[in-house]
Amino acid sequence: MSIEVQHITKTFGSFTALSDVSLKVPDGELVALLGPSGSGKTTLLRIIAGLETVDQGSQGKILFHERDVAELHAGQRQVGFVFQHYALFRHMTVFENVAFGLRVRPRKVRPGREAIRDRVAELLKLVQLRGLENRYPSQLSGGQRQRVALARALAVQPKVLLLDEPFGALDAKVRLELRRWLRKLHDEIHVTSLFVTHDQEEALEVADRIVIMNKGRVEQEGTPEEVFHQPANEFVLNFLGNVNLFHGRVEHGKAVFGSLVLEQGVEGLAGAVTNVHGKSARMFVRPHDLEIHHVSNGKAALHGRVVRVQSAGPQVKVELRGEEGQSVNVELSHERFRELGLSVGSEVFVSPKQARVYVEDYSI
Amino acid sequence: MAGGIPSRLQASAPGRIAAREPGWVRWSLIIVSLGFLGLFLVVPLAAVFTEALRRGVGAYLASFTDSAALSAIRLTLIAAGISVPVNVVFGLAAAWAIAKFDFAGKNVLITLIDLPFAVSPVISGLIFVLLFGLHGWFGGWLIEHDIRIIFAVPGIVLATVFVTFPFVARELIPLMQEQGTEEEQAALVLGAGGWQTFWRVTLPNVKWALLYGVILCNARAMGEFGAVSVVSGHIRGRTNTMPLHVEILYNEYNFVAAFAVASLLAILALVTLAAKSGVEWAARRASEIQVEQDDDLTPTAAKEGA
Repeated sequence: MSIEVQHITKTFGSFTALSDVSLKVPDGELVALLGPSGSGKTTLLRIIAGLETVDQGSQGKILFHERDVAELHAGQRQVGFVFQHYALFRHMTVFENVAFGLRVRPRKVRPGREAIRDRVAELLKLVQLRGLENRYPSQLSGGQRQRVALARALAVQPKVLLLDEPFGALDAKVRLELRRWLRKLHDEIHVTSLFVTHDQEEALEVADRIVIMNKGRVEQEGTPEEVFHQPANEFVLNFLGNVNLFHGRVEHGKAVFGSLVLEQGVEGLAGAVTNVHGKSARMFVRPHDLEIHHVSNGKAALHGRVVRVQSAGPQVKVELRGEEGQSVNVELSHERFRELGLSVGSEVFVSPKQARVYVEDYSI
Repeated sequence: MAGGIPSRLQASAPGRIAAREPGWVRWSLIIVSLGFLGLFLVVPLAAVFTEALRRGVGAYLASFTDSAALSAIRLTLIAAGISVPVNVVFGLAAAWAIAKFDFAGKNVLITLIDLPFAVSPVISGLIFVLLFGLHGWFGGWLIEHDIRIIFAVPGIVLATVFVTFPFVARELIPLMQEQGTEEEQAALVLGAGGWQTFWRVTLPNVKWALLYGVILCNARAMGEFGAVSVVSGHIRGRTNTMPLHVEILYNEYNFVAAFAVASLLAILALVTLAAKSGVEWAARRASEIQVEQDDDLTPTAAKEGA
């Protein structure tokens, strides 16, 4: 079942949490709502679940499969909600937690005792928690609690699954394993899912589509590849991973950043720049899009000195001090690093393989 | 954690002695506290039972068969039997409202709940006399309709309810505030209605604190003297509660009977203490067991989380 949100506005007192937000989650997809804290992503999720209401008088609509659910009570929307801190019923066992949604159904549609037991067993198998039926939440690890919360949400056969920072409270390793597992689970059950996260890596790895939010607005919506390789604006570019920022200006059709002069052919620098002569420009280059050479190879390059090398990790991270004193971060392979024989104090040249240039307020 | 009793009931960490005081300091502290305890608690308690049994068990038991005594016991049970349930309902409602919702005047409500603690019980009783007494605000109207509140059972119940109403609410508010509303929201999303959420989620989470509040509330309801004394009128066999009855007997120099009835109240106090410790113990045990098993789990937790 698809989820569609149209023109949602939500204010808390004088604070605008969401302003005219619209988005669509296609049927059966796993979509990430990504943004920094305070961007309104959790509020949006709670509005979709029916735990918050939209501002009165706003024209907002929430559609589940083309049907407006704005008037429906949270319990009637058939959503599964996984809370950030799981909100497991602490006085109930794992079994009772998972069975809760079935047991509170009106008598007419409540499954029998046997049916509930089978359903819970099936769900616990799905989330790999068989044998822990009689544990209490406080006797489980964080990752186990997370999966109980998921099983509980799935027990009522929700039409959509909403997850609020599902891995936020877990340590790094468990987090990584659990998010891969969630992706696999989604591939098995295909329930339309929307999850909130502030971790771009998590969103890029897990989601089919990503909705990037900032200050109550949607900045960009697209597949992980789209948002990463074609960021709609500076915010998205900045938010999705590390990036180096260079300040410069446009001179005679060229973007000039110190000794680095860029002509046509650079991403974001397509088209004529002559008519914006004298405007200031900003260039963004991801650390892995910078190349290091010992000699200026004729290409546009910046001169710099190595001030820090961090080689523990899959890539070597090198920090340079540029000619104007700015800090430049470069990531390169161990192989290339050995080839160059870099150490602190080395004088080198860096040039971008790929860069995005923004001139004053508009991209060209 | 899971037992859900405010911090004062939580187990202190065993065997954590920060510093060892010299022996004489420890011993003098122990002697001072034991001496104090003995002088102010044990001696009076012993005195009550000694005086009550001075003329033998027969005279002791005879004190309770007296119709005035029986009526006092019955009235005390009625007052407690009404005020405890009323306060359970009020306490739950107030704690629910305060902990789970934001509304204007919340702080005023919290302060008002403490009012009976701050006001002298005699004043509490007087408030009801001023309201419902012969010359009170509603006195004329009540006489016209032939309703008796002051110097009658309803006044005693009212005064008792007033004096005891902080007990349950006070126990529940901090706990419910700490627990937040997430579990209720989870229940709601899973399709539970308001009552189902209350019975299945909210109430089980506060049951130990509630029980603790009920025990304290009951003890106070049965033992209340000041407020009840003002509204009762001391009509023998009709409007005397046990504490009032004790006073009357004592003033009549009927010491054995006075101490016999007093001993009942003392026994009640001891039972209350035992019940209170029992609840504390059970609540602590519930959380301790879980912590223990939690510890057992830790080494494998990361692996199982995979």
